[in-house]
Amino acid sequence: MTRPMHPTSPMGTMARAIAMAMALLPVVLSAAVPAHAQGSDDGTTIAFRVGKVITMDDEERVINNAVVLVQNGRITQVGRARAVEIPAGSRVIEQPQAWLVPGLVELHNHTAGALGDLNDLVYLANPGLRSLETVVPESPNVKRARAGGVTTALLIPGSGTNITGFGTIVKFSGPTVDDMVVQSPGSLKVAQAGNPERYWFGVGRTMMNYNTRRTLEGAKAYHDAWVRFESGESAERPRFNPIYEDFRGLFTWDMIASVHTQQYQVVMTTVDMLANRLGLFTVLDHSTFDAWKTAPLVLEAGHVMTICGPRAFYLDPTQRRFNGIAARWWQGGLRDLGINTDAPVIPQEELSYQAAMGVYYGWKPYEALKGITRIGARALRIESRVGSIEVGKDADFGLWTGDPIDPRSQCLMTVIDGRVHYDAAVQRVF
Amino acid sequence: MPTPPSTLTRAPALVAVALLAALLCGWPVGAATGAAMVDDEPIVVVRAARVITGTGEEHAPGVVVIIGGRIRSVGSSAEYPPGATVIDAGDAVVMPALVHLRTRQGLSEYRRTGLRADRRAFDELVLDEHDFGGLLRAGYTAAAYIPAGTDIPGHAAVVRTAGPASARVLRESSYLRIVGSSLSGRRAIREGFDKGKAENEKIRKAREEWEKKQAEAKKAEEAKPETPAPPRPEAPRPSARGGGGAAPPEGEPAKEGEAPKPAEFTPPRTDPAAQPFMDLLDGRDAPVLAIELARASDLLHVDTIIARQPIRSRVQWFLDGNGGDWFEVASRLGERKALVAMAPTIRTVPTTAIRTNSAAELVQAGCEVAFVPTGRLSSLFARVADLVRSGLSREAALRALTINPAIYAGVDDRLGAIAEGRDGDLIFLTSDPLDGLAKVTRVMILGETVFEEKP
Amino acid sequence: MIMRDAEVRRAPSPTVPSARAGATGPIRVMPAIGGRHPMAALLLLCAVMLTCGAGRAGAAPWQDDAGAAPPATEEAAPTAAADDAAERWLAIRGGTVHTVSGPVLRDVTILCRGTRIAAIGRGLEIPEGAEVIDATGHRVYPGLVAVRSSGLVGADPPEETTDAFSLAAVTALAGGVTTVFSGSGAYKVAYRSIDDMVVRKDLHVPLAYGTRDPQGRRRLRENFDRLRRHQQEVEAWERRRRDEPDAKKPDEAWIRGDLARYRALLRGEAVAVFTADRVHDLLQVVDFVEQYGIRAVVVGATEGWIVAPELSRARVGVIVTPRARQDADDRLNRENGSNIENAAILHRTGVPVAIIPSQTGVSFGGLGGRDLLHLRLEAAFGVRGGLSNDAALRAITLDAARILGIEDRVGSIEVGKDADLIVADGDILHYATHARWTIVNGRVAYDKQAEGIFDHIRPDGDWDAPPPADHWPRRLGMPW
Repeated sequence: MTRPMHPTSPMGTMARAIAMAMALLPVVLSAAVPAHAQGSDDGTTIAFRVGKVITMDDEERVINNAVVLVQNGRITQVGRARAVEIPAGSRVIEQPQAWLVPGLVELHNHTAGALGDLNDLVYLANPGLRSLETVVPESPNVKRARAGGVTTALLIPGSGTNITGFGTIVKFSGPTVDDMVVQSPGSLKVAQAGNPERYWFGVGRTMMNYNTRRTLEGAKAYHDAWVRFESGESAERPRFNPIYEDFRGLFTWDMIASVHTQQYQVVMTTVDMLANRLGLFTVLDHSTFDAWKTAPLVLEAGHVMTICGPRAFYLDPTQRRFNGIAARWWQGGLRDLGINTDAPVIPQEELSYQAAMGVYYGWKPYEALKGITRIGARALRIESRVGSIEVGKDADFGLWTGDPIDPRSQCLMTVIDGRVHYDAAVQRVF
Repeated sequence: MPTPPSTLTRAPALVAVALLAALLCGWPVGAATGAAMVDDEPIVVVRAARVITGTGEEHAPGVVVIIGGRIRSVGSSAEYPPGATVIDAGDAVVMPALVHLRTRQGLSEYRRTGLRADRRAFDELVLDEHDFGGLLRAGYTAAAYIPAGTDIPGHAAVVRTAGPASARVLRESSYLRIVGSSLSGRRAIREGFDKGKAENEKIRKAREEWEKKQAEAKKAEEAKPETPAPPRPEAPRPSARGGGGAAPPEGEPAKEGEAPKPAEFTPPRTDPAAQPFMDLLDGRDAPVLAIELARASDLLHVDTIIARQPIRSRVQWFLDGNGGDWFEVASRLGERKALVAMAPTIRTVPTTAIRTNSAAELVQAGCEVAFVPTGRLSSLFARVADLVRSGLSREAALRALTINPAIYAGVDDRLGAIAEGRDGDLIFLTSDPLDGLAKVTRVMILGETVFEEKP
Repeated sequence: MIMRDAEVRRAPSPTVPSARAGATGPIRVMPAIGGRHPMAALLLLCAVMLTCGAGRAGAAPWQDDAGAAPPATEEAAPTAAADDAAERWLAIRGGTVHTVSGPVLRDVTILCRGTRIAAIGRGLEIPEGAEVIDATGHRVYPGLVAVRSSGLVGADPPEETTDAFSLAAVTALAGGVTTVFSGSGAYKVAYRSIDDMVVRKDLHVPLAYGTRDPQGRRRLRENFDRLRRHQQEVEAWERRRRDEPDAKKPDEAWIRGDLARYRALLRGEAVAVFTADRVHDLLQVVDFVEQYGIRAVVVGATEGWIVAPELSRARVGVIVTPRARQDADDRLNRENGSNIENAAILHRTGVPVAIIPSQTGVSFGGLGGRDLLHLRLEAAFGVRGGLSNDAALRAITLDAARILGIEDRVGSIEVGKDADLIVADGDILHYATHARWTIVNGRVAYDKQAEGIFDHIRPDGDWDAPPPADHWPRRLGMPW
């Protein structure tokens, strides 16, 4: 559901029109799409009897011979088979060899729709753009993502400008955009150095940082004015600004800043400017090359998370050594550490393989799996809903033939919000 | 002529030693008025704060005595007659003049490919018209000019950059340049050896044939007096024709009444481009092969070709290109004590930013290094100083600047060192050559000043 | 899931002194493990003992005046490489040996002499001076065969141009790849040595026979028809010659270049290679191959799973990338597109399968997992699609060698085959596995802890190893 983040905010005409259109869209689409996969939102219980559950819960439990019960899209029970009573009338899915693993969470996906929508290089900062407008629920990319056990993703615009717009947190469910959207705007996409330097005839880092800072400082002043007004501290009602309005979640941490940033120097700037000075909840996407050297800075800031990728390694020219990006961050002390695909750079369905690459280059298997499940959910600030197999959480998980980050394992079944959205037995995709 | 008092205040130690030397010798320093001669040859005495001989010794202060253009002595002191021309270099450092071991300065570029071992760069040089000024001012009194092109383009020529016309040519045919860094160059080496072998074989066969005929002729000769038969001119003819295109006259029948001349074998005509390889294969005096490599791997490929060849002559290497992977073959070159020429440059290990001091590593492994300048000629000393700061020994660096280039160019009997009998080619430096600041202020050839920087 | 290895140390290994191996006396070969091993090993050992006495009696002919060498001269080229190679012994003991061609052997020793495997067995006596690798806790596999490669060997002819010190080569070795196909030949991955790098040349004849080029197809058929007619004429001539000795042999001068290669194909002396992915192209190839009865390999075969029986019938081998992605076009009223099960379906149908990743070079840009370093993981994707572990391993070893026609040299661990081996710290198809040592031609070409590119990753199996100390720069300012 599109979650209005500030219900008290007055809406301008334009914003209202967009909301109307968005509300109508699902209706139109759902009329065209036949009844979808069997679900559990009608009150029936589905019982998954599996060989192993990797819960990714706080105790990091791994339960062998387990049963997971799902009802109305939520997990209602998790435990050893003999300890869980399957209610009469439940639909039972028997996969006694399979591993049940939380749905994988992707922080960096550009395949919402056509790639032409990726980078609308209008201005050097384009805060009004939204990736929501580009989502194509039935695209082959979505189907393949599901077949790779990926259930949640942050769909973001490209990194062609300093602020390319707002990302959308979706589940790879469907059949409608409305069914998919978890939160929009779900993030602000900021790009530091690298790609945006190619804007127009080229811009330098001083100009880009000034540009990003100016935009965000304007938005922060707007937000602060409203906070003062809403709390009664100020009687002056700020003038409504549809562009800045979308930014307000950033300053309340209801929305994250997902930042295209890489290399030591640039990541330093990112942490300093976005996290420390502007106080944003900052997710370092990429954070590749020698960016791991900023680990002490990131740890000190506290509200910065690293979701590295798609590059798995950095061949350090001063060392003639293959540094695993994730491994070096881990060794630097980071524990809130994830990994991404930057789909389509790496196909979305290979998110688990990205974790395997992290391990090949020196990381640890369990941590790598956690990095594409629980940590991903934490980075999106939806940890209370997804990322682990716990009672009360969304029933988002995959059934795998084995260790999900082993490329030899396949995802047999992908369940999102308690519905089976992919079943390899019906049609194998990946 | 500079007089001692002017230097007294600046270098008391030097003066003390010089005076001591003068007293011991009985020749008052600086008292000479006319130029002294030994056997009508001029005597030149160079005194300096330090003399670097290039053979591992350094004298401070140093005195070099040059008689008739040749070095007679070098040391901290020296005897010389009162009439000698004394050049007091003050606090300058004197070292052997430099030998450029590989240049084409002033020559046009063109491409020559294939096996051209008979060509010489010497044939391109017109000494009277050539401007060697740049080399001379940088301290080079001799330069090896290389033939242009790839594969095996020919022989280098070593010439003086100034001095009397009679002394300009040092070697018309010095080392044979071989571009071992390309596939075609390596194939040219193989072709050279193959051809050399075939040509040697051709000569051997011709000689066998000739010797057989000689023996037959001798037998016929011996048989003649016993049976003085009428001459049968048709008999020797086929043998004359059998000698091949070169038509050796030895098959000709001795003329009636004349005593038979001792016949000489004339070898058949062979490809002159194969000559160096023929000589190498037969163990004759052959030119040095200077093989150019661009990366470490080239050595492996060249080795597969020359490993099977009986190379009794010297092989020396020119490490070309920007590669910084010479450390990979340092031990391979070191164990054969190879002489390698290279630019005094710190390079990076390929695909990395790791800087490597190849010269130092090669020396460490047992190689002898000779430096060939790169970039501006005047930057040579500063570049070598960089290498010394990062691990190259002073001794190796000095050898790489003096005697080793002379060996490489094949003129070490005359240049590259300040030692008795060698040519009086010296340079004066403002300071120690390895302090990074040294500049050439004066250049001497055969005891004559040919360049002096105006103060 | 992941092996934790016991502490493994490489035994101190002095260089093999020449002519010492023979002095150690006969080597006992233990009872048979594979069928033909003991006899072959014995024969080999006899040969060793015979040659040892005679070998290296004196210096090479050009070494006679070596003593007189002045410092700056080079008297003799290094060595007679072949002599040294024959006296080089390498023993790998204690590992679990995945022979590929036979059973998995536990705790056996592999003895390599020169460039070949000389013996495999329990309790083999290791010749004095042999280099010994203690592979306890490790798994030993044959070196992997990459049926396509780029940038790993030099331009044709690679044995004369390859850069033997390239980072790409050592990285490929770190991934276990020891043999690569390039141009039209198969070569060893040469690192620090270019000796014996040619496996075999002129293995494949590339042919273009696609649906999009009907003219090209026609020309190719015409040429093949002409050559076939010529072959018939030659046969007729040979028959007639019995009666008419003066019968004129059909002219052959026109069979040159491509035509000569085509004739080799018709005679079964070479293998044709086609690039085809779509069903229609594959069926064209099948028709052509069956029509002319040639041996063929198809590269790509993304839709091969749809026509697997046809490919099997034509005995066409395939070189596939299990992860190749070609989205199905739903507008086509038939099966189409890629299928993760492609390799498994083809293998099941009897089609010889070799696996290759989408990038055939070694990539240093940072995107991991799709280049030759990870050839083994591309095979792991084959397992995802239904191949057995064994079949997947074969698709990058023995079956890959078969598709190239070099299975007599490489692809499995057998006595008499090339000593190309991987000593790995785990299952070769597992993502966390690294090669600890990679051996090419009986020589340790990659040693993880010595080489430095991956030495900091789980050294000696330590998952909690501290980060590497960053040293910069490391070659300058070394104390000499």
